[in-house]
Amino acid sequence: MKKLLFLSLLSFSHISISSETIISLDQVAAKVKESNFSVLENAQRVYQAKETINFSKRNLLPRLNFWSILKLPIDWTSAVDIVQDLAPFLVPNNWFRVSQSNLFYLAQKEQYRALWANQVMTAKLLYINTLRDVDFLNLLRVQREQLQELLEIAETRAVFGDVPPQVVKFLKIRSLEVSEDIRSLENLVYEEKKGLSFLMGIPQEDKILLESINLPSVEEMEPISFDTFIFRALDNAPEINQYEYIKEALNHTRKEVYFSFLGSSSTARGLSGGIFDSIPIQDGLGFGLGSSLRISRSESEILEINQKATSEVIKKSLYVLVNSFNSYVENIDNQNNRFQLAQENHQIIKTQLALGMNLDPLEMLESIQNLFDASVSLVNYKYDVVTTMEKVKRTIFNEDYSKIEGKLENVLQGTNL
Amino acid sequence: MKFLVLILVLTLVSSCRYDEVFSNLHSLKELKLDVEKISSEELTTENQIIVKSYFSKINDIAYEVKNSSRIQKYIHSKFDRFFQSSFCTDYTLNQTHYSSLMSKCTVNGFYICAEEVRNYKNLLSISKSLFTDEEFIKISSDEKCNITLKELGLIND
Repeated sequence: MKKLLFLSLLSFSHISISSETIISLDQVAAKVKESNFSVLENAQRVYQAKETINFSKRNLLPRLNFWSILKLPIDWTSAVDIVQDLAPFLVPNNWFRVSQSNLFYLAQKEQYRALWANQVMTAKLLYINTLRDVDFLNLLRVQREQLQELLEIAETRAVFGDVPPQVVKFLKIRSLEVSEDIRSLENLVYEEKKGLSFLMGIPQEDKILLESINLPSVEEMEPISFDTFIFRALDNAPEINQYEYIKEALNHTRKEVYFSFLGSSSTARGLSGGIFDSIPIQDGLGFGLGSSLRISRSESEILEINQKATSEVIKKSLYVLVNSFNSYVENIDNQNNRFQLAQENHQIIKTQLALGMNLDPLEMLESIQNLFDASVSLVNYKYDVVTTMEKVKRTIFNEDYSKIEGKLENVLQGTNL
Repeated sequence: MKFLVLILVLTLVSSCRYDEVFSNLHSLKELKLDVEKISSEELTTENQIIVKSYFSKINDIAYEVKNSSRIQKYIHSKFDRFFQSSFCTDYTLNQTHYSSLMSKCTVNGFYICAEEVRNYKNLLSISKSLFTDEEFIKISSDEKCNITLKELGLIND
């Protein structure tokens, strides 16, 4: 009974206790890799694909089929049928399936890499967006304080009849509007943090705190060119690389068609192998061989078309990113000037107010609003640059997205380099 | 008789495979010259392909040798035939050209070259470990080679 009570208390505490997790932008990629639900699911698919290779290999070894052996004394001609059981390695199509499962495993790995990179980018962009909204929230809070000060001045002046009552009311309305904006933005930040927790696989009970990031000095950046970036984008794209493996696997399917007279393989192609289900393979040599080959050639054409389309999509997104990045770099001075002018204007109004000059509260309100708009625009601009840079990094597989694959990974393995 | 023919065929096939490693090594010479030619130029897509060809070839050779003990044995037995004193100057990109290339590989903090370029020195270190100490001493005994390897950090002063 005591044990039960203890266990129920323990499970209750597990549900109700929430902890606080501090996350930095640098940790996002690792968290996504460790705990993102889609990434974990896809990692299992890669594991299954790897295990399919072992299955296909072991399927080449003799196996025991009790019923086939029992049939043998009754019907001696069935001895040929048990070749698949006793000597499956004599069926060439079984060997082709081994090669295919190996290639599908590599294709699956590429798919995993693409999904993982997309999830990392989504999480990082959400992180950056949340920080941007937190910054807006802070700016709105500053604006509310400034409005409050202005309201107090206007109310004092209204007592002496310097300011008409409708101006005071107008300022109060504006202040309430800002409070409402703060409320909605707080909700948005809350929602974004919950979304981020989900992407990083952090329990929803936990509260996450985001570390701020250093915004880049856009003034010091140089424009970039599409020609120098496209090589790496296409060279590293797992979306393109997977087609190379699938095309190679298709060649084995073609061989299967030729060798079908030596029996068809009972081994499944495994994950991703479903794309070749449209290629009919006769169980034995027949008049359908030509059609099978033509269908397989057509399948190869489809793969070529898809690969070309994918590389065009990558080019399109890189063109757009390079254009955006360059436009940010070239126009940063406008943003800085706008902010500086708004700041100077606000400072003049404040000085005049301190000197006791009679100022129109609406003019003061406009100055506060201008400064707020310029601040938001500048912060937004810099966050847009960070977002664009993040997308470029994803496209050319840099930093968090960079991954050494294939031969290079093998060569560098086991060294302390 | 059949058995002898089979052995002969197998020997020929396997030695072809070993020779492929050496022909890869010889093609490195041309590829290195191509990289040197464009090392002062802008990294356009065409030049990136040239750069990738050279560094990928090093990676391919290291991969083949590292993963085959037979090829390793073959290399050790034919060392004097294939590795002459001009080995470094012929096949290894020196620090000056490599630095010039690497400085162009980073634009606004973005790395735009192939991964093999960034891992060049790692690949050389691994290649070094595939030779015996004696063999490596022979290779680095050439004065020019010694300087090149020192600059690349493969030999300590």
